[in-house]
Amino acid sequence: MSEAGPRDLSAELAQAASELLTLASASESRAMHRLVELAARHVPGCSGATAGLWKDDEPAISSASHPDLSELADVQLAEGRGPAIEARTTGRQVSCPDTLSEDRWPEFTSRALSMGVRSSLTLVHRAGHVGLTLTMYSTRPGVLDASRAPVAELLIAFGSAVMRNTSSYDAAQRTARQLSEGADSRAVVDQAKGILMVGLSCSADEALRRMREISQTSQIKVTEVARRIVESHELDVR
Amino acid sequence: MKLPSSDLPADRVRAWTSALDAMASAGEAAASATAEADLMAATADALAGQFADWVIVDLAPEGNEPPARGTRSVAGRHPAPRLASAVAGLPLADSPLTVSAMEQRTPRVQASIADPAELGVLPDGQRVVDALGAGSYAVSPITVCGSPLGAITIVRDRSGPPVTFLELSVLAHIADLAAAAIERFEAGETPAGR
Repeated sequence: MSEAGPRDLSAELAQAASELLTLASASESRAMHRLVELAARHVPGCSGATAGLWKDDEPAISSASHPDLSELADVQLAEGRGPAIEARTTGRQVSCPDTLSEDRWPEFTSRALSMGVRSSLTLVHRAGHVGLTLTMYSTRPGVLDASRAPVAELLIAFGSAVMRNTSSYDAAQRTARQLSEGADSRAVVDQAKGILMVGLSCSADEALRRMREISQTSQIKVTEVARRIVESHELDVR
Repeated sequence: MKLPSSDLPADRVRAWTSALDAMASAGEAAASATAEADLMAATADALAGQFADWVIVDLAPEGNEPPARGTRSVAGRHPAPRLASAVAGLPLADSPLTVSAMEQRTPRVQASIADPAELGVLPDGQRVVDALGAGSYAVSPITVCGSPLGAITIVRDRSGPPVTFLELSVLAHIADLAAAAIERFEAGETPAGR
């Protein structure tokens, strides 16, 4: 089989890059899924792909373009060896030109052969404590090699950048949620303090001290004590 | 080196056996065909039922990229001549999945429907995926001397198991058998054994 010509490659690169840019605000798992879909669609010779996101050398998220291929990711994690593990460890591209003659990872190749996978190519991109591996699979031996890498290299580079963005986005979302929850908590505590100040004719500090005492003796959060005071006051008012 | 052996689960052994049956049927169709139209119909008929719920075989004129209107043969597990005829009447270029597989010379598989318009849209506006009840599909290009001359698409309905990666691998070999038959036609050779 021949490869796509230079014009085809340019078009594929442009299309893949533009599609990846649309992932900028996606969640990590959605971005990972889109990455493997794009690899399986745009990399010549690649009939399926898996991707793994690693944080502090631990697997965080994985995705596969086909359910069968997720088994290949799982067997590597279970056995502690395989092309994706090797790529993550060495930081280098790992090629498996023919699963029939491959002897570095017998569990991986045995499983791969049983599902018709004859070759694979794994790329890795590391930035700080985060690593991204992209493994492409072919039904033919010798099809996935360095000459196929340009489109895939672009995909993983963009994918890695997107993953960093989505990580930042997710972190920002978490912070915003925590801040919002914190603001809500303060509002409830202030409301409960006001109720106690009126009911007990005490100062704001005294009201807060009373709520803390209840919190410690009941082993529930001050916010929860305040919420119960507000709820019970609302019932009394009705 | 550990090869697939008796420690394989039974369902995987059955899948291999079924795949070999499909390849044998397609091989017989390819070996006995005397012309392209004959090859397309025989291949679609051989695979429909035992290997897929629907089979679409496309052949496009050589040298057109993206592939232009070609000829198409469609066969289903259950007789539905009007639907088969409607799908056969669609231009190859309306099927982005098939076009992509041909342009990239790469077999593709979808275990679930990612894009409902991926197999095209019928003249009445219904998507082929919906009309065929497709739940998964795979396509492999038919490549002769490096040129993509067509493709074989297999469609599994929503009630069945999704097309596996192994089946994609077998489909790629079946496409090679079809390619070998086309090469034989072009060389003016007679069918094997005649």
